Amino acid sequence: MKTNMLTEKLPSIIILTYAAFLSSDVMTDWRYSPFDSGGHTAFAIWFSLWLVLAKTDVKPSNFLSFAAGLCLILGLMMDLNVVFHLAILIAALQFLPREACSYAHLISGFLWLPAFGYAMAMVGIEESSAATVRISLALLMTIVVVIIATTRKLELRYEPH
Amino acid sequence: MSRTNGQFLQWLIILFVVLATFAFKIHATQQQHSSLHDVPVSGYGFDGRALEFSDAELAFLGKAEAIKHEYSQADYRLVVVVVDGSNNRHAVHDPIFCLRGAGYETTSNTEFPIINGHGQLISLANGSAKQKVAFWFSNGEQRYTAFSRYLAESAINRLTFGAIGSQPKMITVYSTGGRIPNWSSILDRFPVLMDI
Repeated sequence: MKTNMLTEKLPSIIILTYAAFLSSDVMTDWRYSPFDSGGHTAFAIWFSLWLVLAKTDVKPSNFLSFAAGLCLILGLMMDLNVVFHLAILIAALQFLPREACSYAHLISGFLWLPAFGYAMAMVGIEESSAATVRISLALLMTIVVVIIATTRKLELRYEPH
Repeated sequence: MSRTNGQFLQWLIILFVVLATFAFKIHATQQQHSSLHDVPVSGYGFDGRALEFSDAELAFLGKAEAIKHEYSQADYRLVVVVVDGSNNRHAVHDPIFCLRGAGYETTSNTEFPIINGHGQLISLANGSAKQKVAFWFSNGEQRYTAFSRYLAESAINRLTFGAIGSQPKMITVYSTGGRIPNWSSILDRFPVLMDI
C-alpha cells in the first residue's frame, strides 16, 4: 500500500525536487540582495506550514503536474528564475488537500520569491524595511491559512451525517 | 481518467522536462558569440581604452559577454558598460533596482532622447557621493528603458531559438570627467554607442 502511494507520488516528488534544484540561486538573492533579505525566514514559515498541511493520501493532479512541468520548460527556455519559483509553488500544491487553506498557502508562497522583492522596490518600499514587510506578511498569511484550516475542520466536525 | 493513464501522463511530463533540459543546454552551448568585442575602443573624434572588470563583477556576469570601455572627448570622460545576456540572462537586471539595492538613493529619474529611442538618466546619491548614470536597452534597431520589454524580447528570442528578434543588450554609461550638461548631445558625439 505504502509502495503504491510512493509510486503514485514519485513524479510529483521528482518535479518538486528538480524545481527546487533549478531555483537554488534563490539563496544567493536572499543573502546578498537587500530587497530579498528576510526571504529565507518567509520561506521557512511557508515551508513549515506546508509540512503541517501536507497529506500523504492526496491524489496527484495531472493538471498541476502539467502546469509545474510547463513552468520548468518555459523557465529553461527563457532563463527566468521566477518561472522556476512558480513551478515550486505549483509542485508543492500537489501534496496539499484541494481546500481553500491550500490556495491561501500557495499565495503566501509568493512572499519568499525574489520577484516579491522587486515588486516591493517598484512600489517604493525602502530596502531597510523590505525584510520586515516580507516577514510580517508571511506571518499574517500564516494566520489566515490557520484560520481557514481550523474553520474547515470545525465545519467537517459539525456537518450533519 | 484511470489511475494508470494519469500516472503515465505524469511520467510523460517528466520525460518532456528532461528532454527540454538537454535541448536547451545543447542550444545554449551552440549559441554564437556576440559582436561586443568588435566595439571599437577609439575612433574618429574620440579616444578610449578597455577597462578590466573587477572579480566581483566577473562573478556576477558569469558566462555573459560584456565590455567596459572608457571613452574621452574634450572635457568629457564616459565609462560605458555593455552586457549581452545571451549566455546568462541573469547578468542583466533592472538598473534602477540594482542601484537601489547597492545602497544608492535615486534622487531624480528622467528620460532623454537618443537615436531610435530614448535612454534614462538616474541621479544617485550615497551619503555625500553623487553620481549620474544613463542606461538603455538596445535590440539593434530600437533603444528603450523598460525592463519588462527587455524580458519580453529576450524571452521571445529564446522561445523561438533565435528565430524572432535578437537578444537585447544593456548599455550603462556614467561620467568620470566633468559634469555633463546635456546627455543627449554628448552621447551623439560617440556614434560607437549608437552602433550597439
